[in-house]
Amino acid sequence: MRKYVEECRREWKRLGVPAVIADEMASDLDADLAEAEAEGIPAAGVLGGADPNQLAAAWARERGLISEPRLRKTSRTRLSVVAPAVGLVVLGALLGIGGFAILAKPTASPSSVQPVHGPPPRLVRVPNLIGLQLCHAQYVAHAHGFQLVVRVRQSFCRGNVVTHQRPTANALVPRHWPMALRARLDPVRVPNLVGKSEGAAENILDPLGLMVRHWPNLPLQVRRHMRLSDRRIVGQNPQPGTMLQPPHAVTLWLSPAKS
Amino acid sequence: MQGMASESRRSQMLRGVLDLCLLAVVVDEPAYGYEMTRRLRERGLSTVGEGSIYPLLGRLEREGLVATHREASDGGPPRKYYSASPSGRRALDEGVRAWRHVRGEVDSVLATIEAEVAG
Repeated sequence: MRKYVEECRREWKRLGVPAVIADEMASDLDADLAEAEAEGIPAAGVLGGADPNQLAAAWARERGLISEPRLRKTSRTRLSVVAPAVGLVVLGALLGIGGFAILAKPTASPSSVQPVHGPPPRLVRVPNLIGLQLCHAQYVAHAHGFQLVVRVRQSFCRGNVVTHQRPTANALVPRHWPMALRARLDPVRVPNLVGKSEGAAENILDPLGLMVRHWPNLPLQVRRHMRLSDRRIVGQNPQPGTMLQPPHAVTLWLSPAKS
Repeated sequence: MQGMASESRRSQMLRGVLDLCLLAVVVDEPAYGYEMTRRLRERGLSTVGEGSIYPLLGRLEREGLVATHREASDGGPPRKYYSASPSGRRALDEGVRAWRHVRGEVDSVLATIEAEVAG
């Protein structure tokens, strides 16, 4: 990971951004910088003139991961306080291991919250989300005042049931406290996609929670320019009938250009 | 020195409309962070000033003006894609109208000054 990104990550840690969200932002930034570098675009073309601390703080603040008073307080005094409110983090689409997905991991317990400024935080009772489908769990959490920072796609979260949650049901936590969910992701059988269009294949794979990887993997603009989406699938990996753990991807090979 | 002042002014001007530009490049098709930068560049906006798009994307996400999802990438981690939500589309329509209105007003004032100076 680039030094710039590492510095951002350190700043997020200092500001109390939960590690799972900091990792997500760092990963996005690192991938973007790598892509820019591969195209010969200097980092300044992506980052402007912002130094890592400025960027990290501004990004976290604008996402609502840290509050203004906390930002000012920590900037001046370097107090080690736990960031407020990050919300419900659902990363099931990212981590699928052994039939389960670790969806998020809170970085602090409610007891570690320290008062910062203003009135005490409003406490909310954690709803019981175990046994609910992931889509429904997101909805319930939202209705209870948790901000959804990362959502899984509707078509994917349908059918996947929440098996663990933290904090546990009925705990009292500050509004927007980070919540971790774990859901069961059963393997699915890969369908036969040969002969179908790219769009049709996506429509089939999406409800199964499987992602699409194209070959050749070209930028969207190039793909549109070459009208790759008009072509038919001539091959796929894994083969039809293989059991695959969501959210793994199926690689599609497209037919050559029509002359 | 004049170049720096000019760049600073450009940054300030962009600050008020960059959110609209970001919404405009994901209104038809989702894009991840760098792809949005690339689309801005392809449409003529080569640099986005002194900051970067990420904090602004964070705000658009927090305000529900963009929806996000993750998709696989080739060999790397899944990328976070942004697309304009229905309220984002409405905000874009309103913002574009406001921008054109302000631009017209400013152009009128600046044109007058130019005429006076030229006269």
